[in-house]
Amino acid sequence: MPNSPLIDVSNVTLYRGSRLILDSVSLQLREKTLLGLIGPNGSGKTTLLRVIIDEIAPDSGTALIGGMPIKKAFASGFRIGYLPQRREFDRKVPLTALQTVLMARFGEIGLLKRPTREDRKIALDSLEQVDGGYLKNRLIGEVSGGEMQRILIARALAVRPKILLLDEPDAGVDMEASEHFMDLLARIRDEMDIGIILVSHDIGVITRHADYIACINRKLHFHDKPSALAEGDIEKIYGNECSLLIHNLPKRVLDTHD
Amino acid sequence: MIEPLTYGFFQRALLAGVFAGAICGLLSVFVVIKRMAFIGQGISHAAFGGVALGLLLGITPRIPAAIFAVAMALGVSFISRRKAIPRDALIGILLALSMALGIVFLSMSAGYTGSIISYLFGNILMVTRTDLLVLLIVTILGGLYVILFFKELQFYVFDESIAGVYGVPVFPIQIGLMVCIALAVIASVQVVGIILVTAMLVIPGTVALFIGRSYIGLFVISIIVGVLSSIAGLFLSYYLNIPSGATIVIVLSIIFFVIGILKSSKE
Repeated sequence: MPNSPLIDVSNVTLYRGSRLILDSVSLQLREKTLLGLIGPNGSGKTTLLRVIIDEIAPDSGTALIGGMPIKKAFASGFRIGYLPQRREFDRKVPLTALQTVLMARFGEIGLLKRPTREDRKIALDSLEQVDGGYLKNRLIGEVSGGEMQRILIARALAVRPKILLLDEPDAGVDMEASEHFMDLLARIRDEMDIGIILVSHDIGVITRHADYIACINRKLHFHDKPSALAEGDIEKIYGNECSLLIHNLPKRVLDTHD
Repeated sequence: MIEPLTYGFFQRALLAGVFAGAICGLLSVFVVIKRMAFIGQGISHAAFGGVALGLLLGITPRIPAAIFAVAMALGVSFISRRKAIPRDALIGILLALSMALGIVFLSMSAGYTGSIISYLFGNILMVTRTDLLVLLIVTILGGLYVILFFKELQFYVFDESIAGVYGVPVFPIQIGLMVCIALAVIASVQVVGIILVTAMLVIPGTVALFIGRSYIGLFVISIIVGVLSSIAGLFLSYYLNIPSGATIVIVLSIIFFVIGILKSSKE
């Protein structure tokens, strides 16, 4: 289904216990698009990503990948690169960057088979796509925060995804590295034909780099007229203290353009 | 060094120590990276209930002990999968339950129950040919499991949730690892005992993570630490005339502290 959007979430509602987490959320992502997803803590950002990758089933509504239910999409070779917010792994494990990236191939390779030369090449290419070729033999315990972040993006790229879901990948990375990182994502989007959803707290970075912005707080407000959110607009309105305001103001901005 | 080697019991003890050190050392790397130390503890203590049941029924305790240990491993995996109860709380509950059952079984057995001590603390002087055979089989099975599913195990213990998202069958891999741990624990109980066997599952891998500079190196170091500690502990216990299982654990602990201190003084 070539014309189906990469991701088509429609009317997804989800409760945790009696608490409403997602309230009839709809969202679409197409190729070569970088969608910024913003919202306060506990607004359902991470939950929405987990619905998309089928880790949680919604109470109602559907999430389709390439026009198909995710299991079918996965079976037909559709891959999603996912970077969760919580990193559960221990960087003291002496794995090299290349070994870490190569792991993403393990599911593809299948049981009882070893990684081939081709798999190693994909892993190395993925590292090089994030300008991390020089890191290949470094232990993950001995790289910087920004380098680790790129290694993880490379790992996500090594599944050869059509979609990247990045949940606050820039947490703990300094401003300059963060700008470089956004340039990198833009390059991935353009050169590799990948749709990206980027969850971030940094509204300034998002508005500068994202093609679209969605604001979520249980309900999702999708803004599909990027020109309306011209560069600098939001900073003018919020200054640098946007973190508390994210929740209300973008909605207001978005609403005025509806 | 030669004298004890002339005794059959010591030769068997040494072989048992080498097998137990090797299989526990191998699994230890995964146990430590995945932070499963407490499950090792739970599995070994669950074995106590099985040993006591065996003594009560007058059958060889190894079989009910293995059943209890494997049941613990599977029970924890399946129940905690639903996330309704924290995993370590569940392990704590099942561990206590199995110990309690064991004590009841013991009180019900009219006859001699003194041999429970050798299960609790190990009795390497009583290693039979059958014990050795069991240990050898478990070591081979565990080794095969690790070799065949090495890449899946590697991803699972490093980053379980991402491994799952990227198509690794994490739950079956976890079940397999837990069963291997249960069998290794049961097979090694003869060497160090139920109470102390966790040390063999935790210390070698921890030491390997202290000093390992490559992933494969972790396994090499861990197995060497496991095997050497067993050998050193057995000779020491022979010459000092102290309990062998406890001596092995003390040797392991000394290695842990010495390497830990050397490492932290370097940093």
